[in-house]
Amino acid sequence: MNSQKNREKLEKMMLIVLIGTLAIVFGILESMLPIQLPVPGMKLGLANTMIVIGLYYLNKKEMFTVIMLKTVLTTLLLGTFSMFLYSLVGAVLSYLCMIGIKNALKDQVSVIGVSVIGGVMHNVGQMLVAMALLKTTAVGYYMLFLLPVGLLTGIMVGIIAKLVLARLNEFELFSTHYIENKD
Amino acid sequence: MKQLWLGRYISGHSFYHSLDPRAKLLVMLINILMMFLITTWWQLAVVLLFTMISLFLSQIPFAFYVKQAMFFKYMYAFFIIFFAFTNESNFLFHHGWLHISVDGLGIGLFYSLKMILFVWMGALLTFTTTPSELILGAKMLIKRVSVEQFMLMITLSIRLIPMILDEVSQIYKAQQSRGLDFTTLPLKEKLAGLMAIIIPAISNTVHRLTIMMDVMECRGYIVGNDRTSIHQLKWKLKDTIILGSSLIVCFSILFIK
Repeated sequence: MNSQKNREKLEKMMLIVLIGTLAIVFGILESMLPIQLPVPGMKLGLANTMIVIGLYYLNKKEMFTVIMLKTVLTTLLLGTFSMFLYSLVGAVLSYLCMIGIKNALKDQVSVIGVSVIGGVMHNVGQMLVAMALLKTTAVGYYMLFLLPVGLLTGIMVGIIAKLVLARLNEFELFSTHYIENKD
Repeated sequence: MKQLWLGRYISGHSFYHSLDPRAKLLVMLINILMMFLITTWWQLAVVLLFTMISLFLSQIPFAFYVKQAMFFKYMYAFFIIFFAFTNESNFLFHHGWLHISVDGLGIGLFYSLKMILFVWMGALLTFTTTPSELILGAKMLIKRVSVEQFMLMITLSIRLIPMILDEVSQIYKAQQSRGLDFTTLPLKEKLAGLMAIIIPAISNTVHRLTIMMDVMECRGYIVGNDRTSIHQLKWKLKDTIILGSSLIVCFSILFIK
């Protein structure tokens, strides 16, 4: 059998596992670090850093697998099944918007720009689920708090992702799968 | 750290623990559907009763469920306060533009209870089923090759997470001893300081996965091939009973007004 091809597929699979796993680990790490953000109850969203980074190494379908992997695993490990719908819709919507904006504007949008779209749309997705589940649009007012928070975390996640991306091609597993120029 | 793992599997030998993971997954899906159907207090009461019986059958201390429900405490507070102040009927208190409505309090409470129910139904599944059982159940429910590969990735990831988490906390401590201090730095430098943790963590994980890849290749793993499983699930009568009763509850709330 074509072993070269199998190796390539295996590498892609490992890259998916790596990005998905690290996204979860960083999500947990975040709660361990004493990083105080200006707004109480606000999370940095380190997990999204890995998702943004993934956009530069995996294609659309593989990235979708990462999103599913992350959502299913978070549900399994943290046992918050009630969050499943929320995180799934939030993650998928944010992913679609990120990939859309990245493909549409190509070089004109920076890592930070992509990440801001992702951060905001993540919150929008979760609100949409809450609206559907509770059959009320009143939840929409919650957006007033969530929008600026999403914007701010998006910027911070983008900065981190940019810093990490600058170093990632030092690893062979990453450099062979690099898709295009970052900026 | 401890709190994070609260929602995980709690071992036991109750009726609910012994059910087929497929049955539990299907019941979960029906429950999600039910959440969309509930619109009146009576329907809520019926589902609440059903959920309470299920919780009792799982023989897990109620305190665990209460803690799980407290996850969303700000959301409940928001609902109750928001509706109490904005609803325009049956005032408890009225002064100028400020008013508190009894009906509004009721609506807020209704939505909060609905959320709590949703949380409990999910907790019931994850408290009584191990992740590997869940994966096996999902695998049996959807029999396709692409799913097979996805499930392998999940299994790999589940094994990796505790290891990497240990390593990451070690890296963090090491960097702390070298002078990394998140409490005093300004925000921008904090973000840069995160690099000192993230890059070594990625490096370690890449190393581990490269070894894993070589091992899998050596043992003749071919991506996308069909595989058999050593564990098999057996569908029993009690699985049919729990699935049936949850279906009955689901249909009955269609007729309760």
